[in-house]
Amino acid sequence: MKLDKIMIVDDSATSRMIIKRCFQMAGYQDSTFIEAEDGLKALSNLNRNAVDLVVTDLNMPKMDGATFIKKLRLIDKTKQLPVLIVSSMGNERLELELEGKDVMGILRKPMTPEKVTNVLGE
Amino acid sequence: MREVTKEQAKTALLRATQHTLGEMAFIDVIEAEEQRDFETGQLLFIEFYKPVRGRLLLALPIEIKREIVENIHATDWDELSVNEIDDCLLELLNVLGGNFLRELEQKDVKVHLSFPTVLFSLEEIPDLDSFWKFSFDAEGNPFTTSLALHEEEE
Repeated sequence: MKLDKIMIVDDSATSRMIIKRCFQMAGYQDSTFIEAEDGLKALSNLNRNAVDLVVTDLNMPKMDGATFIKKLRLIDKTKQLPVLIVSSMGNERLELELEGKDVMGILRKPMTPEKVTNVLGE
Repeated sequence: MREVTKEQAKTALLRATQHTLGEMAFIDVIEAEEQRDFETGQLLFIEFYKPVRGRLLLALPIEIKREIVENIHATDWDELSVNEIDDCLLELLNVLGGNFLRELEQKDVKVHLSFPTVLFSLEEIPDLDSFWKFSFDAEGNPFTTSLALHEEEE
C-alpha cells in the first residue's frame, strides 16, 4: 500500500513517536508524517492537508478518536479516507462498524512494525 | 463483579508487565523472589472502569525509570526533557493498564481507562492499605505495582 502522507493522532508524543517509528521500520521510511494531539487539531489540519492514511488513538482529551472518525465521515473529502486505530482500549471495531464509521483495522498498543505489516501488507 | 483472587491478579499483572516492558522498552521482567526496598523515582497512577473497576499504581526506582525512557526514545537521558520523560512513562502505564485488563479477562475485551497521572506522593492515595502490592524484578532492579479492585456501583 503506497502512503505518501500519514497523519498520526494521539495525545501522547511518545506514542506518536513509537507509531511513526513502527511505520518507518515496516517500510514507510519515505512517507511524510503529520502529527496531531487530538481529534480537533487533526480535523483542522486535514482541512489544509490531504493525507493517505489516518492513524488514530481512541482515548484522547478534547475530542476522542470515535468522535473524530465520526466527524471525518461527515466531510466529503475525508469520507473515504482510510483510518487505522491504534489504542490500548481494546477491540471496539465492531461497535465502530455498526455505527457506520468503517475503519480498516484496529491495532492494540504497544505498537510494533509487525502489526503495521499485518494490517497494511508487505 | 466476578471474584478476582490475589493470585489471579498477580498472574495477570506479571504477564501484562512482561508484555508491556518487553515490547515497549526491551526490558525483561520476572516476579521478585523477595520484596526489596528501593528509593522511588517515579509514581504513576491510573484508574480503570471496564471490564472491572479498580486502580493501578506503578512505583519505579530511578534506574528502571531511566532505562525505560532511554530505551523507548532510543536516546540518552540527558537529551530528554521532563515533559518527554513524563509522557513516556504515562504512555507506558496506559498500555500496561489495557494489557492487564485483557490478561485478567484472558480475551480481547473492550477496556476503559482514565488518563494516567504522575503522583508526587503516596499520600495522594489515602486508602493505600486496601491495595494488593506485587514486587517484580526488571533485570536485577526491584519495582512494585499495587492494585485495588472495586465492586461495581449499582
